[in-house]
Amino acid sequence: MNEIIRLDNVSIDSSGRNLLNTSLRINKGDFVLIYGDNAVGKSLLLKLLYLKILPSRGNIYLFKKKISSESKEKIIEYRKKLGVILQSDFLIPFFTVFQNIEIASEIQNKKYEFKKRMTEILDWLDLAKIRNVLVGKLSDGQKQKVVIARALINNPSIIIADQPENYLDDETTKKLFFLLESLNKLGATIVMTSNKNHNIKNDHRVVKLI
Amino acid sequence: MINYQDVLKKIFISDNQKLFHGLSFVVISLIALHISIYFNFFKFSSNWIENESKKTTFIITNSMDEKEIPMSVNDEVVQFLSNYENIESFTIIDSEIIKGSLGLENLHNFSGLGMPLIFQVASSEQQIIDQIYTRIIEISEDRLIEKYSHKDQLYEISIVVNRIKTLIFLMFILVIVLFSFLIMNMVKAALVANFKFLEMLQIMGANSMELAKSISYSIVKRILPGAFIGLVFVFLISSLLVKIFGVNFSFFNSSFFWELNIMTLMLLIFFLIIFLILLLLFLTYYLFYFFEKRFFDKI
Repeated sequence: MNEIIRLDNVSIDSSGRNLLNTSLRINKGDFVLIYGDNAVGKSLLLKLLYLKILPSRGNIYLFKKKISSESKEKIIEYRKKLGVILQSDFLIPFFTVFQNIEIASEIQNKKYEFKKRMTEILDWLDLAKIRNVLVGKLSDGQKQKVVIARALINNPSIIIADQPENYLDDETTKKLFFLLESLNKLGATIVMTSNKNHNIKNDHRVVKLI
Repeated sequence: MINYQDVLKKIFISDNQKLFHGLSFVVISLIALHISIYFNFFKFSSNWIENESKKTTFIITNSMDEKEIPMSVNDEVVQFLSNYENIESFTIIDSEIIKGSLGLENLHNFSGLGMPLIFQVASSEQQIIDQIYTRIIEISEDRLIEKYSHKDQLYEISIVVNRIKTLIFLMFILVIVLFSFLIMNMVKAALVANFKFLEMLQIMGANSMELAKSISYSIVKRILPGAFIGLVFVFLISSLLVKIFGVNFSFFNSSFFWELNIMTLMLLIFFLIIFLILLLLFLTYYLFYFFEKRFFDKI
């Protein structure tokens, strides 16, 4: 099995309080669904997985190599392979839908077949008609679609999504899950959180946080 | 294809564009003005001290029964100094000027006050001054002669000049430090206001050094027009000041005026280049530190 990231007895403490205590291994091609009630640490666990935080105790292994605060070059390379969908939109309001998605390609330097991918993703998420509209003028649901499109535009090998179904209607949620599952079948690794257990399917690896 | 460096530029500078232009004009003018004043004061004071230090004042005091030094002695002194080739220049101080400087313009000729003969000789060689002194003793026919080298009296003046130079230099440093703090705080405020977006860039794998370089390069580029106009403005002010104050100095002539202006311009251009390079390095380092500090979230 191709191990991507492994959390080995990691715990996160803040102000003397233990916020998270877990061990987890993500392999290439996994579809991992992390679910649990609100404020149990789902987003915190995802932050560990996209290496925005380091644990207070325990170790993180990235491609079987131990990661520390000194491993920034490796972390940057890892982050460039990610497509991250976060709960807060992190979009640039005075840029159009197209430009907001395009910026991910610019940063991750993945310009190959950009136009084709852009057309596909805009069509998939029903964003084609509003591609030139400023993001500041969109509804929350449309913004969430832009966030998803930005995360997927580079065909990332690892997708980390924090409750991506937020603000989406049922039909779009179904389409999104279908898209994620399709990408997973094509070899992408998916790690996502959800507070709805009806998204669980048999071939998902489920992590329940208590 | 958009360039994400353009995005950064738009985020950090579009709202503050006019402010950046105006601020850079005012601050660069202020700093450059200090440099220009320091340099011109340095040149003027150096020239003045150099010229003054060559001078020696001779005073031939009249005898008790004389109202003033006889014309024959006066003429002989003038003739001797005119024929003496080794001196750079000499000046006979007119008795009316002496009276004027003492506030005795309306003094009646019948008063008991006698007027000495005062003249200044400019020469950098002490041996020549000694030869002149010996000859003046002979010409003066046993009258009292006093000799004052200006070099001895310039010590205290040079201390004052140095203090003024130090003061201008300290003001220059103060303005630079204040400007650095201002820029730093403005940039920090823009960074904090847009931090969610920057955090996303970091999550997507943006490198701290690349981000720092892009933002600092954009800021310096925005400062450039205001800085250039400030430089021209200071150069014009400097030329005007040199022209106005220069007329009071004996060494001031048109070639000295142009020499000063060209040197001031070169100095200002040199200053601008060095200043912008240092600002670029300072901002890059500061921003790199800012992003590196936030590479990982604090829990």
